[in-house]
This record gives sequence, C-alpha cells and structure tokens, in this order.
Amino acid sequence: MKNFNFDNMKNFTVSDEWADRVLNTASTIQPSKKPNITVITTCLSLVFVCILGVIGFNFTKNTPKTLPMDVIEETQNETLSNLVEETEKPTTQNETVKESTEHQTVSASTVKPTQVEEITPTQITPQPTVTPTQPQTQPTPEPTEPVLPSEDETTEPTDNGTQNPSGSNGDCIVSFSPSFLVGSGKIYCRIKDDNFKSVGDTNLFSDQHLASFYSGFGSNYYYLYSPENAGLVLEPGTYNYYFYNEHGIPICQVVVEIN
Amino acid sequence: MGDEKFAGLSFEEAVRKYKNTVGAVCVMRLKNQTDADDCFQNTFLRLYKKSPDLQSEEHLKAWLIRVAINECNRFMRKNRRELFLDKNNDDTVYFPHEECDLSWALFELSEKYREVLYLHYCQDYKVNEIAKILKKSPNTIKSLLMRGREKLRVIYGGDIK
Repeated sequence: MKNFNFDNMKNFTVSDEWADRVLNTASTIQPSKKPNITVITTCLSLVFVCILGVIGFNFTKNTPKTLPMDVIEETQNETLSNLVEETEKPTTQNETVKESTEHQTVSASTVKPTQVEEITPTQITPQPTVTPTQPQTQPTPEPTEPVLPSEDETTEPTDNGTQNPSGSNGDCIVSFSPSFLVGSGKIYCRIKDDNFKSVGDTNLFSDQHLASFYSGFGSNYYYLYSPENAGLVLEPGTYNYYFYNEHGIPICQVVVEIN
Repeated sequence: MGDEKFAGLSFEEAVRKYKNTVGAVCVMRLKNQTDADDCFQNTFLRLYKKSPDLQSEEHLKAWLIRVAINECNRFMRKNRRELFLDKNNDDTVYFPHEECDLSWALFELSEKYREVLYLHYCQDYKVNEIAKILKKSPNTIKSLLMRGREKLRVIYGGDIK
C-alpha cells in the first residue's frame, strides 16, 4: 500500500518578498487604537449613576409626602391664626388677585368663597363682602392673569363656567388643576366652625367627609362637598372648609359663610 | 510600526511565523501566485489594523486562516469574470504529478473539498477545529472530507486510504 501525502502543499513556502511588502505597508499605517475598557466602564458607570440620580430626584420631588395628622393640625392652626389676624384688616375690592398656573378656584352656591389656600402657589379670589387673605409664609406666584371679583355670588369664578351644585346650604365646589396632590381622586372635606371646632365625624377619612367628583375637563377638576348630603346641619355662621387628598395632605381651604 | 502584540508576538514575528500558512491557504484557494499575494497582504494588514484580542498563537493561526479564506472569497467574488477568462496564466500554481504526493490532485478538486482536505491533511486540524474555523457543523466537515477523498481517488485513479 502506498503512503500518500500532501508534502508539496504542506511544505509550500512563501517568498520573503511577500512578508517584507506586508511589513512595509504596515509601517505606513497607523494601527487601530483599542479603547481602554476601564475608562469606558468608568464613564458608563458615571452616566448610569447620573441618570439614576436624576430619576431619583424627580421621583422624590413628585411623590407626595404623607404628613402625620398632628403635624397637619399644627400647620392648620398656625395658618388659621395668621388668617384670623389678617382678616381683621379691611381690604378693598380693588385688590387684584393673581392666578398661577398650578391654581385652584373655589366656588360656592350660596356661600361666598373667600380664600383658597394650597400647598402649591396660591390664589385668592376676593369677594365684596369677604376679606381675602394670603398666608405670609407662602410665596406669591408670578402674576399671570388677574381675576376680577365676581359680582354675582352664585357665579362660579372658574374659567369654564361650570355650574354650581344644586343650591343646598353650605355646598361648596372646589376646582384645581390635576396634579399629584389629587392622587387617585378621593378628596375629603372637614368643616370647622368659627372656634375651629370640627363638625361631624372626627375621622377625616370617613364617608361623611368624602367630597364627590363634580366634573372635570382635563385642565380642571371640580369637587363638590355638600354638608347636607353628608348629614350635617350647619347653623348660620362662618365655616372653614378644609379639603384633603387621600393622603391627608391639605389641598385647599375655603371660608364659607352661611346666612 | 507600533508595539502591538498579537498573541504575544510582534507584528513582524507574526508575519514571519505564519506567512507560509497564510500563503498556502491563499494559493490553495486561488491557485494563482499574484492573486494569492494580494489576499496575503490583505490578511496581514487586517490583522494589523484590527488588532484582534487573541489569547494564544493557536487562536492567532486559526484567525489568520479564517481571514485568509474570507479574503480569497471576497477576491473571487470581485474578480469572478477575470478569473474565468484568465484561467491559465503564467502565475497559476502547479504541483508536479508524483506517485505519492497528491498535492497536484488536491488542486483538481473543487474549492469546498480542497480547503477541508488541506486543513485536515496539511494543517493537521481535527474535524471539530475545521468546523469552528469554517463555521460549519462537524458532520458537514466529515462528509466533505469523505467525499473529497472519494474525488481524490477518482482523480488519482487508484487506491487512496
């Protein structure tokens, strides 16, 4: 049996000219620089950390903070005492009221909305018979559009002209731009009388304090709170309506007079 | 030239060490000295430009063979017409007809058998290694080897084992 092989092919040799030509050509070419993996990894890590930081910052900024009820009470009392002091000073009807973009308006059917207070920039709608006040601790928003005082008390000072609720005594409609404060949409209202004594159930989140969704058009949501529907009979006088979201964060305050 | 290392070798060392392997692959594929020289140049220049991260000299050798085959394929695609017309020019590589050396018969085979037989018998690669280099399944390589041997037998006209 013959022992076949491919020795000629196996021992094929290339002349040195080929190799020299390659080496000469290569000497004129700049080899590719490999990117340093460590540097790339560090840069990517930094970018990742920055992105995480931005996301975390936005999340913290947009998450509503749930305050304990006693803190809320304290804040309310402080604000209210400021309010009482300020309401003693007479104000004229000519005071212009500034409206901010993150704004809320207040309306009442048979009552006069006097002041709106919110955590975000505030807006106050003065009425002829009521003295609007503004908390001193809150920054005044940049004026955008003056809101003229409404002559007709039953006309709601809202831009879309939403109708008032059926004229139950003490009914109150609040409207505000949808924001994180509104949460999932449950709004509670607690009423306090002149002496800051709560009316009705002491539990804020009871059904008695639940305000009902009245209407909404994307830019403004309207919530109605009717004491009569909640089984509360209010004597004539001045009442403070405090509106909260489902986390107990106060959204606005309305002073309502019942004749 | 930079001080780049290719599996521990400088570029010049890599060229000197593997020039015969790459040259033989190019000649085996193209059967033409001039064309093989072009692909030879391109193969090593690609190594120089790309600086692939190769762990060992075995990897470097396999990488060079793979790239040389690709360069030859690219060359044949680009110059299909010219190759057909200039089939027998002065640069065509021939091996003498010898009784025991089948290199000449290898050159008579079609490319797909030729490269598998060459890698197996001349470069001593195993089936799995050839499969990795050519990116084909081991079974395909086995059948190519078997059919290539059959065709060699026919070309030689005798018993080949």
